[in-house]
Amino acid sequence: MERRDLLKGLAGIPFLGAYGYLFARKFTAENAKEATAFQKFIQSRIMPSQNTKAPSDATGKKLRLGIVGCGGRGRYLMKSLGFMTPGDIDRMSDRQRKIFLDQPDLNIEINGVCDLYKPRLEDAARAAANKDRKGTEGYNSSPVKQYGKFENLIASDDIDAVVIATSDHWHGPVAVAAANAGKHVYCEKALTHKIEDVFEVRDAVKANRIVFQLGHQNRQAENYKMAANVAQAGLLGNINLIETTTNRNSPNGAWVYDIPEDAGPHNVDWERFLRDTNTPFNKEHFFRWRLFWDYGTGLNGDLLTHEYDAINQMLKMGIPEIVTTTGGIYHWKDGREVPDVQQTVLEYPEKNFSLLYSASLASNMYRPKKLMGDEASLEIGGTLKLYVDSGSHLYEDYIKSEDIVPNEPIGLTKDYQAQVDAISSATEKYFASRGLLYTSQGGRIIDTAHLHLADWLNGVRTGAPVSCGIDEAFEEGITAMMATKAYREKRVVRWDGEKVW
Amino acid sequence: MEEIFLDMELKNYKQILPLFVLRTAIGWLFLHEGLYKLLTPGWTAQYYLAQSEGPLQSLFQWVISSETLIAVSNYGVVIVLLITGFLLMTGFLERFAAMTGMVLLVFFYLSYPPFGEISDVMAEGNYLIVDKNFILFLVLWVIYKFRPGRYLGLNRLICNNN
Repeated sequence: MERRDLLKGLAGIPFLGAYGYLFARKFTAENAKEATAFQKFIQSRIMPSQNTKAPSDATGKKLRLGIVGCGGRGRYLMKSLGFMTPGDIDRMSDRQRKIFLDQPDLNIEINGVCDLYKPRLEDAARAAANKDRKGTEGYNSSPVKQYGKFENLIASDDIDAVVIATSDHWHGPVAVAAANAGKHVYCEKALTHKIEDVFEVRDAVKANRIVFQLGHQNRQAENYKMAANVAQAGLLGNINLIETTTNRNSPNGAWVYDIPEDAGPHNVDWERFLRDTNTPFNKEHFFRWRLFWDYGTGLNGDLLTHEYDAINQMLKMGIPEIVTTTGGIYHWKDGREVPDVQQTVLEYPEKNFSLLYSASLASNMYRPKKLMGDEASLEIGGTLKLYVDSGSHLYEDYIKSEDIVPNEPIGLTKDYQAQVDAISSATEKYFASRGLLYTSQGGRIIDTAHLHLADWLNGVRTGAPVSCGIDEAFEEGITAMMATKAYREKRVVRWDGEKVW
Repeated sequence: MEEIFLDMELKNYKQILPLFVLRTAIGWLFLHEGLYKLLTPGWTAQYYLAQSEGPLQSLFQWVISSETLIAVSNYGVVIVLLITGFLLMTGFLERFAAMTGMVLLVFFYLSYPPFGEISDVMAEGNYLIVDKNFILFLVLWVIYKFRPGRYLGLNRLICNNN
């Protein structure tokens, strides 16, 4: 081989070497980059978020649960507890199935289920018996005990704790009965359907010292915990206005649920569904109860509660002094009684801020939550964004030193979703917010409802405080009822610290 | 006949040089994309695939429905980028490298095809049919045909065809 051949053959090597050198230099420089003074300031003010590992107790005694209400939400909670019908497991995509099968075992068993619609009850009984998370192939368990009356389920000796996912108008009575029987309670939001019930549930829970958790799984979402840190560290200055929203635009999102064709008086226990009304059998009322005041409270109980509790998680502000609600049925003119567009304003004169809740069930325009303070504002969506006010004193130095630009978003959380690229394409993509179904822990996707149930079970086992206990539930219950009252009575509703008037 | 003609042309060093530089540059581009992805913690093709609305949408949706397939596509993209980049820079097995690079580019192109859809407004440039992936594909085709590595590159030592 000639020397000339060798040189020409190796012609690419110097370039490879140059690339390697430059890349290494760039990489080292990026890794060694000092945090700016502003970043250091933020880090010094925020306590590191504690890693909330799902508490699990695989060795102790199994806790024995009963489920009251096995409709859409009841079924979802059973899944979050680790129980699904074999058919549902078969129907999941591989990815969903993996998330479900990877979900930690909570060391529980479901010994009884209760529902007023027979086919749903039978399905739930099969799901509850599916301890090994099997598909149709390999499933051979006998269904667990089925109850038509929640009183019997609660009275049963083989049940220690009850999960309540009935229609809203039964939350109160079931929770009170369970507490009085000494059974621990996980209750779906909204806490109740009547103001009196809110007080009764609180008193029963406190008197019987049971562990109560209200179903606001937002308490487990990492970005909400981080938002709480930011607000509580004073990084926003004095918060004076908060904006929260609901935007959905689909029949399902507007609670127009399917009504099973086979449903009728022969398999629906209508008498027990009614609480203190005398309405003749009505399938729509039974399956779409959220549309009617006798059973639900519309946006207030269903969605305002989530928004309210998320802000209460961050600011711990409690019950508002003054509430107004306006709105109407502007789109879904399907015979419903509850509004589909609504504005509720919660006033906190003593704390010097207003909380605005604005909702539409006929537009899915994306509007993240906003905490607005005199120093900076925080936008809470899939990621957290801080907007420093141009007149800020707290951040004055960093604005001067050009560490930050006022009113430009500063990302406070890492968003791996944003790392979208491919060769020669720097396409920016808009990522729709995916709601609060999942949170990420150490890169793993976890169902927040699972974490919230685990948090409750841990409280039952160890006596540790739960994240949305009876005090927070009481605040949510009163606030939601005030919003409903304000709308239905078309007036300003007040809370004097003891009662609503 | 064509091959002979090209061979004769390429014996002229001045004409090989631009092809050599072109091959090195595109190798650099691939290698860097691969290395950057490899060293970015948490990098995944998942969201890129999920957002795709091109003709391969159903394939990509199928891929992201399984953890295993996501892992395979993540490693796959990185490995193909690294190998293609390395081979192009050194001028070794350049026909193989050009092919793998072209296959990858077809996927990139069809993920977000510049067919004039409104959804392209978020892209970093404005393209119609011909975009950067398309041009890169053509460049690799030229490399594949002219094989400059036989003159400048490791292929010269290995093929020893001169």
